[in-house]
Amino acid sequence: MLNSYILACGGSSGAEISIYKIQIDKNFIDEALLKEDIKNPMYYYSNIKSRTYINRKEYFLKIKSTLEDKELDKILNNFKDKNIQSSFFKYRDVIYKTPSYHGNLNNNLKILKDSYENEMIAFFKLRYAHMMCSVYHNLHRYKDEIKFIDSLDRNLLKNSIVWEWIDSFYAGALRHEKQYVKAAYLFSKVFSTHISDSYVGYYDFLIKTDEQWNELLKMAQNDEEKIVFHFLRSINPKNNKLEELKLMTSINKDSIWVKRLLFTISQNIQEIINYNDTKEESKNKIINDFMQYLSEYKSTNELGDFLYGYFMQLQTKKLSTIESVKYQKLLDYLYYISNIKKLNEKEISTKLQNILEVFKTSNINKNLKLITMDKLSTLYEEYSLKQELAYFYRDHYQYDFRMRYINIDDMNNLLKLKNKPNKTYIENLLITSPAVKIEKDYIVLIKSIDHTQKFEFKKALAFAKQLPDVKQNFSDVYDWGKKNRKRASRENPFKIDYHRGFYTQIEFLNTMIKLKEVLKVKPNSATDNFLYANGLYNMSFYGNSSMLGIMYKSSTAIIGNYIQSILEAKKYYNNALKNTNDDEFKAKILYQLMKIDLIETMDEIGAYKEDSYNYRSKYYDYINYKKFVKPLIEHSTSYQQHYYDLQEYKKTKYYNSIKQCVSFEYFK
Amino acid sequence: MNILNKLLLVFILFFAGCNDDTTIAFYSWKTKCKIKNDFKYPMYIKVLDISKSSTIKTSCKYKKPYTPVVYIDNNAFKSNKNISKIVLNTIPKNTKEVQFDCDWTPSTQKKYFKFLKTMKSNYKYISATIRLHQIKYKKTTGIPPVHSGVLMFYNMSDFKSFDTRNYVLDIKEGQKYLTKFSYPMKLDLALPLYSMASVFRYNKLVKVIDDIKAKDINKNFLKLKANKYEVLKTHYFKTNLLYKGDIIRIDEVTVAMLKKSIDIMPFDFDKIIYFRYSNLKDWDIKELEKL
Repeated sequence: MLNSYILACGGSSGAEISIYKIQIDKNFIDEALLKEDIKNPMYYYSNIKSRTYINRKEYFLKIKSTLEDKELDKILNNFKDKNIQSSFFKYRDVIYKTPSYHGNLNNNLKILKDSYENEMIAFFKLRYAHMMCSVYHNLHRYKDEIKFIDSLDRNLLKNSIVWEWIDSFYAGALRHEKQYVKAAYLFSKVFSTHISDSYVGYYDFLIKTDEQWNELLKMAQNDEEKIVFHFLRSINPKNNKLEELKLMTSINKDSIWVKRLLFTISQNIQEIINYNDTKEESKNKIINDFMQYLSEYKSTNELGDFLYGYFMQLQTKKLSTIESVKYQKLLDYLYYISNIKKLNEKEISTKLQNILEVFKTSNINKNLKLITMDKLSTLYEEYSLKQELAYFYRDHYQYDFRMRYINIDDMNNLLKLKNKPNKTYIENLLITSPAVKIEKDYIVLIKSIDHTQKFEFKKALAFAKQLPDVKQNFSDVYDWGKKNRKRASRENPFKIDYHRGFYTQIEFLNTMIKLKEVLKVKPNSATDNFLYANGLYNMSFYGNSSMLGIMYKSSTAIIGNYIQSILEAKKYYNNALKNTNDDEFKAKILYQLMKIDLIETMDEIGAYKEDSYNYRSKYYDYINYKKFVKPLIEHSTSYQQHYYDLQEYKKTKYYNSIKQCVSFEYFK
Repeated sequence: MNILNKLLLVFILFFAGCNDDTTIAFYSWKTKCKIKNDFKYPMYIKVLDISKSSTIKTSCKYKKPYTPVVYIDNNAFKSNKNISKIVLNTIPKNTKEVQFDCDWTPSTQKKYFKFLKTMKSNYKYISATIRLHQIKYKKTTGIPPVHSGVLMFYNMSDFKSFDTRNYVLDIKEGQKYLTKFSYPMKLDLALPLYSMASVFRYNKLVKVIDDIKAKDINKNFLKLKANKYEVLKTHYFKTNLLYKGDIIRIDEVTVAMLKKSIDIMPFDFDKIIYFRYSNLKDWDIKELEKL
């Protein structure tokens, strides 16, 4: 079946008016089909603040260049009331923000009126005019406001954005004065022509009767204006878009507003198909009605033609034929990629290359690659490097490949793929994505960590030595992200609690090598067993120096090797426990073993894997102890035994030092 | 139905429901209430509308004594809003009766009931509205700690469903909630006077138009079955834009429906409060008195 996401990839929410903007970024609608759309006021909607700001700023800079500072100060000093001065006339505020009002509005109005009448500089004169409108509005003196605006000289800086604001006030005042039709007409102008506040036109366009509607249609100067009225009705979520589209098409099928609405409806229909809980019967009726419209519309417009083909395929699940050669090719490819069941990388490569040739520059080019990668991720072998790379390519705007867990085998496969001669087009895509660039240091680091995880500390050391020197600068070292080339711990990895220290990767590995050597000679040394176990425990995901033993630590996921070194540590803790008679020491070891028991139990029941972040946050949340930790404890007989054993050492300093800890409370 | 059941029904109809002493009253639900000062029936006026984000006080120039009603949106109890304080600051403590209207749920029950206890200790007499589901599922929703309740016998169906027969008053639907009736509290009855139209497009509710009756239907509609009509022409209807093909369902109430509602009530009540005063223009108040 044809992929049903070709018009929009993501879900949507919020105001209907913004959907258009959100979804237009990810679709298979050629820019050429909506080429004039840069002027679409619905784009402005989502960028309203910044656009307004930019416009005002530009405007201010322009006017400022024509004024001397003294002149500005002189104007400001005309106002004796400091509050008013600062809120209205402090020129930066006046220009950058909409003024806020303080004090008595009637007094403000008087001051503004004087200023307006006496002001010689056009820029300020117009600003005062706008402010007067605003105050009239706040005083509900709409008649006076209308009269005042009617009296304004429209030649005064006639291209100024301030006229947009004034005209919005004007339309609003007319509506308050019950001149609904005239107000609606002006709001339609606000919507279709304003840069800064077109959304006002949408929200305030209001017609309530057939008489008003007919009168409004009569006011239209041309067909395009009539079409905008319909468009404004159509974007009200309670109204029937398709009916409005039909009416608009009957006026001028080639209007850009028809295209805009056609596209919006297509997106809505796709939403209904993909996500909506609409009943099947209603869903079919909605699609059929739209198809009926498209079948009549398609011959005059490539957009309609393409949509017709798309929805036909979606409905009939068969390849559809359309008149446009270019878009037929697109549909063919989308149909092909959606229906492919067996991986043939060469064939996909050729077909993808061919279609990309047709759509070289548009957003379609980018989205064709993404949709292909999405499909490939389902065709590649599970957990294979290529599958990982395909996922990564698809999501590469969000993730850096190196942020994902990568082991030495993946690393080698990646390098192999990179060096492979005669790569397919797809393979090139997989490998050349900017975020997959693997630098030499990074390869060395992966190798050093990989050997560390296999407890091959000598091999690990050989690689670690090839990495740049670590300076005692935490900000250099503690960067798990892109710049991560250096590893060190700010904790002492041989202590069981958090102890400030600074161990470089090399220092850590050297110590582990030494301890390993000592244990070969003295396998029953309690202290050496304990220190070695601490090293293993602390280089794990749970340890105080995990940066030395894992590639990447995520707050939301457990990635890679996180249990092996813990299990290895357990062996050495048990050795240490067997070989000591010191009660303090025993208490410490038992407590470590209890921690390991808990981690093992969590691993067994898969709690971490399913919802690691939530589970861990609950683990640290004492209130949730009963719900989340208690079952783990009950599950682990080993833990229970260790806890029982620990009670023998209640008199030790260590026991007493931990018994107040919240974390210890879990273990009771 | 066997003879025994018939006798039981006669018995219920005879002893339960309306009696000669039943009085009628009206709810006013507008934010700006406009009640004529010569209106002779008791009034229940919504004086406060409390939600999570807002508190709206009614402005009212009505000079006669009336029972203030406080509407509290259920979600308001999910916030830290001090609802008791708002009520106590608005309604004087010497008020004869205060009524509370809240569609509480098990999740807000504790807070709502605690609030009602506070109110009970501050006012002489408090009552609360009770919805049908709160009668049927009283074990889950609990019995509010008030002196008496008012059963709201309206809005008993699925608001959004195209298949709903009559959202305002569907006696068959209402009866489902009243089988095996028992409620450990004195109840009065609230009945609807209002009407509305629900507009469906592709079987989906798209808008509701208030205060529409079948008599408002004109040539732009085609009667389908029962209370449903198809829109024949795109046009503005009572300030609402309707499109060709839309289906509207008109939910209205007749005197006969009110009478039947009263007849099937399986409990005694002293008072019927009609919702709402602003719809009274469409009714003959004497007929309501006779019910």
